[in-house]
Amino acid sequence: MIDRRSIVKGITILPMLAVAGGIGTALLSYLKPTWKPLALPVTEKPLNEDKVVGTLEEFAKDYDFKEFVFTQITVEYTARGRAATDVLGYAVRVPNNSLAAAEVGIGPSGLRRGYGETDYNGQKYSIVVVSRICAHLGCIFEYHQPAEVCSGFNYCGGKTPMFSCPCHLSVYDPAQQQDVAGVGKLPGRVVSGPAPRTPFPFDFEIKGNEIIVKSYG
Amino acid sequence: MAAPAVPSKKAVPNVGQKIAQWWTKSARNLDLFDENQTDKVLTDPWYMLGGMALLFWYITIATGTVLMFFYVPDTYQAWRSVRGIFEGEQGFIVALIRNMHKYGADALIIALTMRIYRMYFRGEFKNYNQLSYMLTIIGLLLAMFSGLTGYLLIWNQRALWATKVFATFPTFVDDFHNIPTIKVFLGPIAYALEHTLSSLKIGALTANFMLAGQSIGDATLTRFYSAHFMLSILAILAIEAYFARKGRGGKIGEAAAGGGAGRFKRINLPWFAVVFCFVVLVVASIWVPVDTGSPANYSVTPNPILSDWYFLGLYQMMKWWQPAVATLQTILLPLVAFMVVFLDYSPERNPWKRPFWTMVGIYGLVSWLAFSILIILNIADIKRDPPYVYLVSMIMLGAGAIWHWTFMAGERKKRLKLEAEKAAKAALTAPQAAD
Repeated sequence: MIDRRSIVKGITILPMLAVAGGIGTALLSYLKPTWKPLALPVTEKPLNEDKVVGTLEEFAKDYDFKEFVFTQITVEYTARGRAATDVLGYAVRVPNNSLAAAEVGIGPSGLRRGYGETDYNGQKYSIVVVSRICAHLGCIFEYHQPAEVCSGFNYCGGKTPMFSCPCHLSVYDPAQQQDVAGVGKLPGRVVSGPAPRTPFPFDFEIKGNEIIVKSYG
Repeated sequence: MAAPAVPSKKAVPNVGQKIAQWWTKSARNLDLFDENQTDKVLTDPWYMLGGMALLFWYITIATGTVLMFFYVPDTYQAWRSVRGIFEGEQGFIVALIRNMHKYGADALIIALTMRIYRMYFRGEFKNYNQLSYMLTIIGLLLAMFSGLTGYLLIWNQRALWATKVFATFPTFVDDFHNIPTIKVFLGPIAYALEHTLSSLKIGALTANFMLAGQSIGDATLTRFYSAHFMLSILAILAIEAYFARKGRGGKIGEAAAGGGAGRFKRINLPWFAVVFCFVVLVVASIWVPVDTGSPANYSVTPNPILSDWYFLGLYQMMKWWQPAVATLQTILLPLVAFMVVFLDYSPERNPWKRPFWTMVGIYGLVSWLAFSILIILNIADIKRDPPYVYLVSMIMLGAGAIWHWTFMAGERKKRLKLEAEKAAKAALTAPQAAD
């Protein structure tokens, strides 16, 4: 029944709700993530700089590798307004034609993801550049010789060096490619263990003899 | 004139009334730390588990409060400050208190786990006592989560990678609709999951919320520190409110007068048991100090790497199944534990007279222990092992079912025989009675 009392009650409850809502929003706003699909303003693109990983001379033979650290800068709700994250990566030279270059997925920057080929000094180089963050649960994987992969990671079927993760024994072969939903084929096929996909690739280009990483993720 | 016939209405409670009744009775029967078993505890040591859990919880909170004076929640100093305590920079007593904090928490988890199994095997959850069992499981989960948030604070390698894994595994919640079994056999459920959990990115949001960002850092440490403290404090406040309500109007040894349950004892242990627990804890803390491990390093995952002991079973599951399946199983585990106490609805409490449910309990215990041992031995092959695990599960549960069926058939036979004998006796005595 509508009477004077209920109308007055209804009117007083509105500003109280507004105040509670205002305070609640302020308190809960930290829950808001900084990525899609809830909010992604234009400024929240990675703000990192290019990183020179190394020169082709450092990859004299097949399966030569190099470790590097790529600093990814993103907008975050921190005191500085941005957060720098070090992403560890591996660059590995794989045997030529072990990966079908034309099938490797292309990233937003127009570069093949995690894979590049070039001719330099009369030699053909095929380079795989991926992050060391395991696609399973985020541990850091290592680059191991087949004997170590067999003794420590439950996979003895490989004859070449592999990426292998200590946490849950996922093993990736950099010289094979695998289909990843929505991206296309990527280097680093999962040959053993629970990993659901290939390692996350870097977008990079080879200029002259330099391998330059442009972006990650 | 005869009155019109009124159809007799038998009061059959509807579902809502049944639930309300269950809730009222369960709330009245609530017995979270065996505080009602004041007599049984003197004769049966299994009933000390509840009192021990509460005792160790109090010890853990008290020691934790002391540690807050010495701990620095900052990625540069966290490990250093804990290491300082370990090396005796703060004196022997603080080092002892830190060890007691860790071992007290371990003891709490052991006591809660054993109490859950005691309640399960002895059928204590029956006759409207499921709520006590369920709350003990929730207590165990909170204790495990407290343990996880607690060991990140040390900021050592084990902490960093355990947290990394723990905070990443919820992201696979967004992938549930891609699990082959669900996709193929449960199409509508897969569709529903895809358009709720997955499209809202619930898993990724959970991970983001836990880590306070995209990766583990200072913000994560702050968040875990506050969660570590807050969980215990909020839970203990709730427990105190429960005791206050329960004790209302009655004192120990007196009947309830004002609506409270009356006779109960908060830490329901004889004095010698309290002393014994405390002494064992102190001796263990002095004898085996808790090492701090090596400081967290983002760029190296040690090989091998193990979590704290109570997560080892789950950890093995993560190695054995596709990540989405492993995540789903982890989430379903407590729900299954809740469900079994409702499915086992017969009034029978004796474990040997409800063999299937006993087998379910044994299966849970055995697989947890076996998984923990296998991960320590580093045995796991995702392509080779899961079929064997399924096979052993099927054999154990199937044997339980057959045992149950045989037992029930035997019982039924006995009952029929008894009834037949009774009828025969009645037939014999009937003519005499008629005389």
